[in-house]
Amino acid sequence: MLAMQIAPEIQTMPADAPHFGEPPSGRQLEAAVLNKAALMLEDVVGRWQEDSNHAMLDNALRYNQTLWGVFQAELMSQDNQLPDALKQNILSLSSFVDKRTFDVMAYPDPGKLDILIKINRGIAEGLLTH
Amino acid sequence: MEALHSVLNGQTGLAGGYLLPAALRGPSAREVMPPAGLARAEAESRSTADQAAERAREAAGRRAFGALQSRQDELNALAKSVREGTESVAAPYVIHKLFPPYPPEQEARMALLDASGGMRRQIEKLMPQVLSDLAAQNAERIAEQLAAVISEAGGQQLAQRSAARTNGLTQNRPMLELIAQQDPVQ
Repeated sequence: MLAMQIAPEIQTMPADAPHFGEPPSGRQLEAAVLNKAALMLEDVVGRWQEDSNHAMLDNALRYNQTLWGVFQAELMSQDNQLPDALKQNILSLSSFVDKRTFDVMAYPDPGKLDILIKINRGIAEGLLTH
Repeated sequence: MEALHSVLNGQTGLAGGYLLPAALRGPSAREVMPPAGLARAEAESRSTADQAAERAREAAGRRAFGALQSRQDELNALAKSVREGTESVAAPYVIHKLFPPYPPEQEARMALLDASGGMRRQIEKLMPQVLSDLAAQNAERIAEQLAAVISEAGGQQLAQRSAARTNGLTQNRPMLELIAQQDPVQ
């Protein structure tokens, strides 16, 4: 299981919150955006019955897709210097996120969002742990 | 005379006549520009080259990202059409009672098996679910590994790489900032 114990201030920190003093590091920014996407997906799960036309679901999935699209585009870059193992993991996860997004968009089910939330939370936690 | 002329015109490969007396040759760059100014010019030149490389990298990133988004838009449209199709054909359940022995060519039974609620469809529906669960478990394991790598030793490695200016998974900070500011309509 992914460790889900995230500091409350990080868990609830919106990615677009104003920053005082130094701007957030790249890792903090990535973690904040991953957490924002996770929060949106959690919100969809919590308000599943209200979202009869799946508008919230589509928006949250699109946001998450956009975020993962940035990571995928990065892997295509010629001068990407991430270690190969890391690249491989991100590629595998990106592929899974794409497939799961299609699956849940075509056959909506709140249970299918859990893994997307766990992935985002887990990676955000890893980014903030360092 | 012709040789001297060519030297004066800088055609001999002697860098514009450095072998000539100072009175005959023009001022060199070092003479025109003090060393500090030269160093600054070189730094500015490097900086310009870096900026150009950065712009090219960002443009390539935007192109790759745009191509990905186009593909995702197509897949999303397909997924939504599947969803709408599934929801529109969702009919209330009708109970059919059929008892064995079944005649081999019983049309009612064949139609039932071929219908959306038939056994074959049920099996097909269940199979991707099993595969999907396995994929989810696998993805969760990979996410754990990734989180571990980027958290401790991996984070230190990333920090040591000057190319990883964001010290994270992506160098595309402008795009991340754009996404962070995005306020999806809900």
